[in-house]
Amino acid sequence: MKEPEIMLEIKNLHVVIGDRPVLRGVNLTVRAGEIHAIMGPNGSGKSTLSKVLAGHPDYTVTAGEVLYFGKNLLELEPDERAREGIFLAFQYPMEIPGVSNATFLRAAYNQLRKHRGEEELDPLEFDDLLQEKIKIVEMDRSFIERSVNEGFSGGEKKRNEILQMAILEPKLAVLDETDSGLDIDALRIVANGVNQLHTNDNAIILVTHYQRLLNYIQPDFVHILLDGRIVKSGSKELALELEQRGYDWVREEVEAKVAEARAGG
Amino acid sequence: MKAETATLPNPFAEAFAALASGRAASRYGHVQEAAFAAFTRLGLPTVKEEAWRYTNLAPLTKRSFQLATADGLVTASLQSAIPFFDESATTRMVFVNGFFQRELSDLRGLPAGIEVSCLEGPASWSETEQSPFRVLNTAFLRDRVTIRVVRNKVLEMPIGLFFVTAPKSDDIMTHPRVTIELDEAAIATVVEIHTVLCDEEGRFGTHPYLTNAITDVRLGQGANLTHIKVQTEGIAAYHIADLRVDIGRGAAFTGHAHALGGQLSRQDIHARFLDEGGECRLYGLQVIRGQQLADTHITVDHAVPNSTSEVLYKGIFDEQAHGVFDGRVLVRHGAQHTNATTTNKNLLLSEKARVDTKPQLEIFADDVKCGHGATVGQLDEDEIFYLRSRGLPLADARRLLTFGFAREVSERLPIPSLKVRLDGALARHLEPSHSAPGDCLL
Repeated sequence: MKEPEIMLEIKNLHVVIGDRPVLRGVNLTVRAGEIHAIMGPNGSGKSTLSKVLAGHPDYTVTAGEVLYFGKNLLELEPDERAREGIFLAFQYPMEIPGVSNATFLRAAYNQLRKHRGEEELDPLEFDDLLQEKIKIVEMDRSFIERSVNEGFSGGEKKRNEILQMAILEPKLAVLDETDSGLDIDALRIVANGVNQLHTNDNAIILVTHYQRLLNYIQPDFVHILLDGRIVKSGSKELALELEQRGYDWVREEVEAKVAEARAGG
Repeated sequence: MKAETATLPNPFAEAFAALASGRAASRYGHVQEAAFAAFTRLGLPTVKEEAWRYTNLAPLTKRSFQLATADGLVTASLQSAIPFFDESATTRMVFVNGFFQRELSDLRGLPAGIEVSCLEGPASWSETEQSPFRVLNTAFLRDRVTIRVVRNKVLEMPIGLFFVTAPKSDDIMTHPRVTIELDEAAIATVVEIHTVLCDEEGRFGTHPYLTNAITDVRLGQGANLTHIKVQTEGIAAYHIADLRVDIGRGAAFTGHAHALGGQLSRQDIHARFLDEGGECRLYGLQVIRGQQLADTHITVDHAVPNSTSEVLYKGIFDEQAHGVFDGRVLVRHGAQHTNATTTNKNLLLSEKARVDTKPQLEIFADDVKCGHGATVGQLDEDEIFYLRSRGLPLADARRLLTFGFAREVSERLPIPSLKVRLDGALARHLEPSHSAPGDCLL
């Protein structure tokens, strides 16, 4: 069987914020249809990796490259990346007072259509699409007319992120701690939404602290990010092991390997 | 600098002298003579006066403003350019270059009990406070509007007052004057639109002109007035306006002010509670760019107990625009249980834009709830990134956020078709690539 197409290739990625190195040689390959979980303790660089993929201006890439369908992703503006099919579900979605969810979603969706050479949708046409997509995240209609995320609970904000994902239908979705701050019902709704949106043609990177989310969204691969590097990769059982044993043993394993390499060299 | 000297030359003397024969024939002539004498004595305010610190009127003295003549004013194309809105189709008055336009006006929609009239000449002149622009208005007053709503009368449709200037040449001036009186428990909405008319090419005349407008409001017991003012004067225009509101027992005044136009615009609002239980709400939006200056000075005078005031003004300043906001709440001795908030929020869209804001509270009573605050900021980078991460180009993201900032004020506008017009005007004004500086806004 032919292997699915490579979507994303991260090679030896080094990133600093200000003068502080955050990512120190990340390597990762993602193919169409795959779900990758990236786990790691606080400060390991998980959120940085998400934001760099989306093009956040605060981060500087000092070495390495990121190829998206074989093309240099890093030279694209954040909005160009989005129109090419990259989507970041924010850990802390912004509140945008005065801009209704409907206006925002339609503006974003029409940019995408324009990019594909399709006709833009008027508010009525878009509303039909919205009606359909809103079911995926079990959101109340009233959220559509409210200002983007303003006064939303943590769970509502995360559902709104998945609604955006449902409308924009990205090829590569990066979910940055989408499970944080969710109660069990909201977690189920968000996870169901993501599972419905996952196909053989798109890929998902789940960035998370906890194994909990992975009970609902089954990853094909689990990677451990530690001090700015992916130090261990495995199947979804790795996540269970982390849940039971914490990260210290991984750190010890890495240090032992380093020592071994030194002794050997 | 010349402007720093104690007095400014009087740029109106020549124009006033030219009207001498008209005054001699008018029964109001002596009132206007007295008013102009008062203006001459007071002089134009200078930047040495605290209230005019940021608004330098010296450029006015370099002009020679004249009242317009009535001939050949309103061509068909100019007529179609007047920004009428549906809700006032049969309740509107139109003034062009200071002249009442009977053919363009329509008052058939007024029910009995509401008097709207256009009178010639000044009212019997008994200004207790002689501010320079007030007496100047009286001295040059031509047609003035009075609106009176009798007891218990409710006016469903807004009355539209269109003060348009069609500058065929430099230095036209107009002195609009509106008096609104609501008797006990009367309810009405009045919209004042001050704008320039596009010429045949659909452009502003870039001619400088002066509008010096005065609105006086008196609200009887339990009366309720919504007053909307839209200012989209020409790009080279000077717009000076003074709104006085006297609020009776349990009466409510709501003011909406949208200022987009003018090279220099100045709005004074002075609201005063005459008796207990009144409410005064003032919402304003200033959106300017280029070299524009927009200055708002508000005083809310809580002279009696149990009154409520809320002031919310927002400013959006692009390029080298300069905004000024001075909002003063005065709670006089004995004005217990006053509830007053003043908020001024400003958005600077360029590094060269500037705003001077000063909300002030002066409290002489001890049992009151008062608050005030001001903010000045730029668009939030994280919000911009959020929108861009959804595929919106930078310019679109900025525009959407700027609109969002304005919405807190603009969404309160109670007239749907006017709101749509203003949103359009805002979009054009914020989008230099979609409009030339001389384009019509409204």
